[in-house]
Amino acid sequence: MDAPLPSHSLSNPFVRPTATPESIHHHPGARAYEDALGLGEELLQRPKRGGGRARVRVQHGKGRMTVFERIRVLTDSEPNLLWQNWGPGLDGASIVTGILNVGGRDVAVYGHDFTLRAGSMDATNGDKLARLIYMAGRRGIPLIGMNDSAGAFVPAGVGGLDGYSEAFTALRKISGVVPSISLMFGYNAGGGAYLPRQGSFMIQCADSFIGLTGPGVVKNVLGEEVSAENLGGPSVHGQNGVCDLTTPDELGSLRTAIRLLSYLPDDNKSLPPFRPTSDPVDRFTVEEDILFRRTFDNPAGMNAPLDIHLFLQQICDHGEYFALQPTRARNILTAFGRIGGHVVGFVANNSSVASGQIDVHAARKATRFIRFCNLYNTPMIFLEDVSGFMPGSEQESQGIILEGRRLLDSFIDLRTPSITLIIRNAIGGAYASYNSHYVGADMVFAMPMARIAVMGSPGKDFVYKDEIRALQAAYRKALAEGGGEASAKAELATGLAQLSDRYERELMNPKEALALGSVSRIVIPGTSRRVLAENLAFLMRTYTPSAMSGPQREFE
Amino acid sequence: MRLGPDLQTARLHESRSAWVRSFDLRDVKILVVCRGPVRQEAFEIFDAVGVREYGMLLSEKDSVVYPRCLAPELRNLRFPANVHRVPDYMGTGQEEKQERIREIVAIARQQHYTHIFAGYGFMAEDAEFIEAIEQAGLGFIGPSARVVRRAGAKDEAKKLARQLGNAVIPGVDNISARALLKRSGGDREGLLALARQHGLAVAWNDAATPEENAELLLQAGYAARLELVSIAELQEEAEGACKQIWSEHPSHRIRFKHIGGGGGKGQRVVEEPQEVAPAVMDVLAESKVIAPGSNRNFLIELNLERTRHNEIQLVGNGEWCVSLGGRDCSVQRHEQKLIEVSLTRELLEVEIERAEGAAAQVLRGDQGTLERMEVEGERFGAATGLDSVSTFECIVEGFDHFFMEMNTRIQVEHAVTELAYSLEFSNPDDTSECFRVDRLIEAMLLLAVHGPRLPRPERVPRAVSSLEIRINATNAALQPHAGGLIKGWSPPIDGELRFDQGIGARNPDTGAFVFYNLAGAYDSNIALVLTDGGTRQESYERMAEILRRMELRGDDLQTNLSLHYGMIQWFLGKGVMAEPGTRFLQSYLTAVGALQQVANEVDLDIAFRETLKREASEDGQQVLAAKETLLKRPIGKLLSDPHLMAGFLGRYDGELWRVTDGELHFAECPSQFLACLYHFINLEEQPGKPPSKQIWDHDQEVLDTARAFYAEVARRAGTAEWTQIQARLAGEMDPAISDGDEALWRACQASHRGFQVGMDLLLLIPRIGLRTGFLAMGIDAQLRPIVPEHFADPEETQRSLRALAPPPRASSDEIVTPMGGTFYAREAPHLPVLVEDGDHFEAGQPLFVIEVMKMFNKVSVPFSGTILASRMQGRDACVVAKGEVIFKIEPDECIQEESPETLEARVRETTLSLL
Repeated sequence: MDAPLPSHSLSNPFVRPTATPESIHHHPGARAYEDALGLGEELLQRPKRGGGRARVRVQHGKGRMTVFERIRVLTDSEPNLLWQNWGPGLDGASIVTGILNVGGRDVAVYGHDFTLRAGSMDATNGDKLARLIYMAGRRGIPLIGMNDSAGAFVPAGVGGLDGYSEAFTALRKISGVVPSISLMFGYNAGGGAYLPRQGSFMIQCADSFIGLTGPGVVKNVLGEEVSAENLGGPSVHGQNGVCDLTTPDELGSLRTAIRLLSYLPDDNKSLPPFRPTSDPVDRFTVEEDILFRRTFDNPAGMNAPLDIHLFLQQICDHGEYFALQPTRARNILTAFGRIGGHVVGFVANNSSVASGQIDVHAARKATRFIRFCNLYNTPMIFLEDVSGFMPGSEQESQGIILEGRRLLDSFIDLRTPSITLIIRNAIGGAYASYNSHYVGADMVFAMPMARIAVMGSPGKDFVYKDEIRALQAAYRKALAEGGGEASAKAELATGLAQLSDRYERELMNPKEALALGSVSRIVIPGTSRRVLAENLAFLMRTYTPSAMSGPQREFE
Repeated sequence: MRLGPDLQTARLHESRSAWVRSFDLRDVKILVVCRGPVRQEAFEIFDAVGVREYGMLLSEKDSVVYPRCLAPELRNLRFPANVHRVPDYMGTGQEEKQERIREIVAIARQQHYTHIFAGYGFMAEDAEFIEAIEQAGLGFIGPSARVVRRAGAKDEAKKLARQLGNAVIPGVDNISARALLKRSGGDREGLLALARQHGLAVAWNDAATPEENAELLLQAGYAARLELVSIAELQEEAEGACKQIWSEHPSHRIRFKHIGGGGGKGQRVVEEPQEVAPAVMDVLAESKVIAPGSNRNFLIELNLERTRHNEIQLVGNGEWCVSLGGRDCSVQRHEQKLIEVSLTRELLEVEIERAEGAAAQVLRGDQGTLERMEVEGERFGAATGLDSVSTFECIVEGFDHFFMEMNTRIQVEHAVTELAYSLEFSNPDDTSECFRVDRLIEAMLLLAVHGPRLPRPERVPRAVSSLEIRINATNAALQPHAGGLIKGWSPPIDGELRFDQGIGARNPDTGAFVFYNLAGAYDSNIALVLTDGGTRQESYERMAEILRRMELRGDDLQTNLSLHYGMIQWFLGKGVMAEPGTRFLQSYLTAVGALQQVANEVDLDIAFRETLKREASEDGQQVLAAKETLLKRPIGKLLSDPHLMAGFLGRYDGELWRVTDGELHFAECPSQFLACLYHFINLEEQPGKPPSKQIWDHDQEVLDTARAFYAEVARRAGTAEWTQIQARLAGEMDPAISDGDEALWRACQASHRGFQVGMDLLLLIPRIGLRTGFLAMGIDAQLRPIVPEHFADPEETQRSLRALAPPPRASSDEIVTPMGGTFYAREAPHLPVLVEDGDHFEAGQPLFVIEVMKMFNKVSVPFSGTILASRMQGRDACVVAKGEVIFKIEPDECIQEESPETLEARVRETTLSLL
């Protein structure tokens, strides 16, 4: 008997369902081959259905794409999916893995299928993930992870946790072997937060969450009421350094990943993609000169803040650079760019933000970036304009000594070609640690405005002790002789100001550093692109990309 | 960028005809001294016609002031050595301008340029600049200084127009002369005494009027930089003149416009006598002519309210002058044009054929007006000896037109004309030898190089209709929005002509889109987009399609793209031959803001849950749940962008739904409604687009099934009328539909119920249109816009603008230090303090300086307000801690604390009331 007709339907009654072919068989086994083909087809299709239509609708209802839709953004080519029927349900076990052709390069890609058990991790799919990750490492191809996972699959018990452990281990093992980009979609908690952060770069889009636990747990455990956005949204992780880039939507994240990939090598044995440039490397860049004139010919003089982006865009090919962590610790700029076609990792002090002092956050940001470039055969250029590490109790309590030291050590460990260009300030400890000659720079250049000194103008107290004593004596004498206090004070102030000026004139310049060989040459504004390009080309000609080797140091 | 629908450029030197070859354009070297979309356009044309070499100026703002803001033209410039740095393209004051002129002439001489092109920059109409170029022996690609002097100064132009018998607006064009006469007593003796007193040697001309004699004395005064008339005297004289105009034309407003003004600068409109004096001051200050001895003459004229802004494109060689039809630029606000459409005889002929009744009558009247404007324009152009291109600008009220001014330069919207007409030059001795010129810049170059030899051309009609929209970096309320970063821009589609300054040009090395920062250094214009068509309707449809598919992505990016899309769609719904006045856009914007105000209080989740709740049957609820994304996604999209909503309402009112007795009904099958909506918001299925930019696949399947079902029902029922189909499916078994098959009939009814459940949610959008009065906006039989009164109310406009672009708000009445350091109230010891008590400050304005380790950081805040009291009085150079209070302030916008419960209740109420 027919089932009762539903009162509402979304089918077209005028279209009769296509009848299955007549099942008339002359003898059993006649359809064995057909059945096998049917099974094959069904097995190929099964993972693509994910958790079924209703689940897909829920995913779409949140404004999110399915994993297969995300793959379509990454590549126009048919994805080469691996282990499609992994898992007891033969459905791929809620993770899709494959090799994609992204812009002509092989890229290993995994993505959680949130429609299938919320993309969770169980005992078997951790192994699947690990296999893909190891394959990327062995074959030397970059890895893109599209994370959208609620965490461990609770019914799987300890198996789910073990799954994570396998994946953690795999990703750590290929860290430093091939670069990876973690895209954060949807809701990622627990292991789903740690795993992607083991990768090289993390990109988070709006309306997504990353956290050790979600707001619910936070409320239960701590009684703290907080929204998912304020607990682990891009506005949080774009500021704390957990995420390197944030985007307005999934599409933005996927496109950003493709762009980022264009600066990354395939593995730690190769160079990042070289692109011959149509932008002449020997052009005289008048803008540099204009920029410095504009900046320094103003009331604040040589103490005026300089937005280093404006300089960077003058030296890169066609003015293009790609900044990482652009919304945090803006007192330091970390960016990829190209000079003469070579990918370069730039680290630049930005004195237009919080004076460009290196604080805990800036140190952390730069350290991570330098370590990455070091591992992946990426030459570096340091644009130096810094008067010091940020002092004060706030910084000390956050451990500036530890973080500043990390930065210093990352310079020392740097083995790829590196050039330091001192634009203006290079003072005291900041000079000494900031990829100076003795720290390991291949070349240190300075602009004529460079102020390379032990300390800023308070240094006059040490350099001109006798002169200061004489001024003070004169002041006391004037007072004793009954001269007006005001005029005596004024005279003292004038004298001290003159000493400050003299200090700036005599010691705040590149002369001593040049004489000592700490700086190899002066670079006149307008010629830095040419000088950098020429030297970079030389350094790259004589550099053979290879995997890092040698002893591991105690601290990272 | 491509050269567009079918705009052509020819290499004349390659012609087989010797006569054509004689107009060779190769042997020139051109320096382009302006920026904007015209710079890249000029380069492309120069390349196409075979110009030997060219170069450009590059300002600091286009290179070193903002990050990611390098002039995009540099990326593919053929002559990278020909980039010449200047602080700016023009000077801000008289002295700086002189300096710039000297600089440009020097560059041109040193680098052996033969010609200068100034596009539509400020310099293009500056007689002093052009004269300097001419005197340096260089060619100027544009009207000569003589023409600019004769036609460019607004007062002189009006006088000439009057002499020629052209229609001009009631007003005063010699207020300075009048004031001078008053001061001197109004006669010969007085004037001469005044001249002697200032040591000016001026003779009295008996043949001229006293006003003209006063004018001569004024000119001598300007030359000697002597002040003959004070600002106070001008104010007094203006008050008298206005009184006179108001006595003849009560209830009109009056416009003041400095003779050197343009682009909305140096203009004010007054309504009351007490507004006159301050307005005069504003006009003079904005025009930077406060300094004694400046030419402060400004025009006083009747402000025509229901007017359209039409202009005639002229081209001439000094002997002949040819009109290339008109452009209607009435869709504008604050004197900034947004949409420009072609207005030609050919267009009106076609459209009169297509029009009916009153509209045809109106268009016939327009034909006469256009003809008169063209005749007067040609006459005026010839009288001024026009030797390049210019625009004859008129305002039109009814069938009357009034001459406003002549712009002696190429205009932003010139390509509208290029699509409508091209020029054909024939050898007078052998008409078989001829060549066509499609681009006005090419014509300008030809005129600059071969001017006198060029015979009078014929204009050859091309497209019947063309139009341009200007894409600007503005927010939803059309206020400038600087700082957005373009990270991607879809390439032009078929039939689209895009002038984007080269922003879309990819990185030549990597092929990647180059991020571009809309820093707002110059104006907010990003690009111009044009298209054409065989009728106005067709050109609008093409434009709608271009805008529908245009994708502009980036960070903090705000543009008027969706306003344009909405408005083009609105006109497509209401009638593209509409004749909006110059104030229409303001009312339209107010109406869109009204939509936004309601949309702010609509919660789609509440609406959907309520709809689900109201569905009685379980099957129905299940089916509706399956349609959640199908329905919510497009409705949500409209709610999130009032300009999209406005366009949809305008385009489909009366087609997809109807209002009878204040009640809304579907006029079409709701599936059709949905399909239209998905298409409208560019979310229709399209291979190659990212999945998140298309309808979700399962939603497409439901939609396809529904449409196939209703198509079959319509076929069987023999009617496409929705009301009938609906009635028949709801009624007793219809044998025509079900072949008398009872089971099929029941299945049909189930499908009908399934497809229809929850569809009423779609009516939420027209209901917002109905409630706000938006649907009452339209076009009447005479092609005039119908605007409900409240949309013309300035207070309503203010509310709307605030809804469209909520101003930044302060969360506190204090400004604190963002970092510790040394505080300074001023940038340097010899400079004044940045702000004082009682000062009003703008968002982003520097308020004080904090020095941290020898870095002087200017501190600003992201909102505006007034300084009540400084807490740092006399504490300059003191060390302050992070978070220390510097100013007590009164912010312009405070965050209004509304309890979440009240807000929720209000949203709930509004939402439910719209179901």
